[in-house]
Amino acid sequence: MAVRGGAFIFVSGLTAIDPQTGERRPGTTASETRQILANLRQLLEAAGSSLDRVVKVNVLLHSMLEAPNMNEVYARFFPEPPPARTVCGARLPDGIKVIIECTVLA
Amino acid sequence: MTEKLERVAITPRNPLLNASRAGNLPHVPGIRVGDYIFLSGMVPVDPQTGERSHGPIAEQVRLTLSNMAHMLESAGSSLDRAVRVHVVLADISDMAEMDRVYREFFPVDPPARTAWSMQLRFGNGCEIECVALAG
Repeated sequence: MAVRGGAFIFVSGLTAIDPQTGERRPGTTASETRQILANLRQLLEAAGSSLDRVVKVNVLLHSMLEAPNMNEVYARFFPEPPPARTVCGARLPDGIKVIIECTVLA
Repeated sequence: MTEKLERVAITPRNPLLNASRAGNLPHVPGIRVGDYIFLSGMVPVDPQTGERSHGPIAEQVRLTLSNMAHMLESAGSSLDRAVRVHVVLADISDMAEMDRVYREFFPVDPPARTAWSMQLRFGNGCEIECVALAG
């Protein structure tokens, strides 16, 4: 899920997974975003970092029409100033609606 | 234990290019950490008006890269300090045109680059992001 390299932690593209079961938890763009960022927070804290040390985020959405729904949830997770970010629409596998990867300060 | 690096948000000298903040989007134009600058994806915005500008793709790429130069210079860096660039095009058939303009901005020792096509927002023809060395 994540690799530490010097000062940085590189996090793989995360999808909405139930942290209890490890199973996919498909939902709306908003609910998948919420699940991913909650899991990301847990993952980073376990690695001794946190959401406020995220530097750069890439968000892939199944449709750019969903960008406002993603943004609304996303904005609640990151304190000011939020990370640099790029958001694009892409064909994602298996009905996945959101993938989020990031680079974080360790 | 080495000293912990801190994140510093980048602000363009031209406030009209601070598109994400103006649009109340939850990201900053770029973050500097230690020796590196990470820029958010930049899109063709007219630096005089702050409005998106959707001319021919060559013009959009030129505008985006000159705004990127401004952003890096605002952070005390420059295009020739870029180490890795991602170019995203709305239409993959614009690749040759993009490349022609791109070469004007990186005439010697260009950075590592990947280019591909994805769905972009607001009718933008390109979106370009980079990682650059600070200073």
